Amino acid sequence: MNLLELLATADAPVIDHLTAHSHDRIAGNSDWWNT
Amino acid sequence: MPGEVITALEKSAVELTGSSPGHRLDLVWHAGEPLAVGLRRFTELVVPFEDLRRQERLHHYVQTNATLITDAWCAFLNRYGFRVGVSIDGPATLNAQRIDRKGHPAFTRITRGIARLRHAGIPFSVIAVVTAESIEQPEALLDFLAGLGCRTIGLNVEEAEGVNVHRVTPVMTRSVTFWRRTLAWSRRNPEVSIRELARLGDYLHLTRTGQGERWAARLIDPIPTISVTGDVTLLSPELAGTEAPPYGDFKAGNILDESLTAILAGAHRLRYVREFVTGLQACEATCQFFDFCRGAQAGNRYFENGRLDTTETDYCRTSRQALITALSDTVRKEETP
Repeated sequence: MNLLELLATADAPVIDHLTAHSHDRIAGNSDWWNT
Repeated sequence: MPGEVITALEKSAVELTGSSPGHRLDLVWHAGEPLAVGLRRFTELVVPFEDLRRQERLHHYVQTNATLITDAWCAFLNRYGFRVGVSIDGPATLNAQRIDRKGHPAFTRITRGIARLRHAGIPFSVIAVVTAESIEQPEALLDFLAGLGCRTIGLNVEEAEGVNVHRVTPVMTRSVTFWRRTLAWSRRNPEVSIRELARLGDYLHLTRTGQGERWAARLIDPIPTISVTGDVTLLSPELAGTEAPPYGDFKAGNILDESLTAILAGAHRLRYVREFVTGLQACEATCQFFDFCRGAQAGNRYFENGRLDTTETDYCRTSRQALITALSDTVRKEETP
């Protein structure tokens, strides 16, 4: 199991923090070719 | 930028945004300091796009170091609905590598310009190049950037790329530590949006709620970059103006000869585009971080490896792999009773 697979199921407060606003960001619609 | 190039671009913008409802073009003015052309000339450049902008078919963006911002510039940015990004690397002690054309540190003029933006009520984001110095001081860097009153913070851990070849790339372990401390800072300051953390949060949200296919369904944005002569470069703006005879200097066409739509339609025949797609496929086949990263960027591949069909780059290591590793380390600590 790689790191991303581990993070996909991890239960930790830091994950809750990172994803806290994701639902609203995605629902709110918010460093073309598509051959 | 000559008027004939602007006229050709406006025609292409009409074509690109007229093909289906809801298509909007984001026109980003960048490279060097866009405001250096002067207020009168910049106004002449944006006026041809006014019909499209008023129909919500086009938005203007500008990436600036803010040193030239005056109240008159703020009125211009407001009048034409510009989205503004400011480049600043941190407090004065960490910003020494941002210099003006005379070689003087630009810090004081940058912060003065930002103050004018805030006074005019113009929202802005900031991007900071994380240098060999600031990678050791993420808290000081983030405290300063958040204090500017920006809407989002973007952090570019430095890479050996393009003209910025005199800096040293931070090692992976320093990058992991930087992101681990950035994660901790973010938890103490949850009201501040950090682009890289928001991006990772969105990925995790989708994968953890059974919507991973939405992330995987991403489309490649060719990011067409148009030079003052009308030459069009695809995939990475850093490739524009680069001498590379085997790749035709990365020119995909010229907007004075054919429309952007036509150039994009034939892009898959370009050698460097084919190589890039091969590189993406190699990333997918070999990298455990691909599900999140979706493949190394074209400019990084070329400037680091001299080709576009290679895989891992410094950017991958310092900005994607180090971030995931830092999060994994943090999770492991939190899960340990």
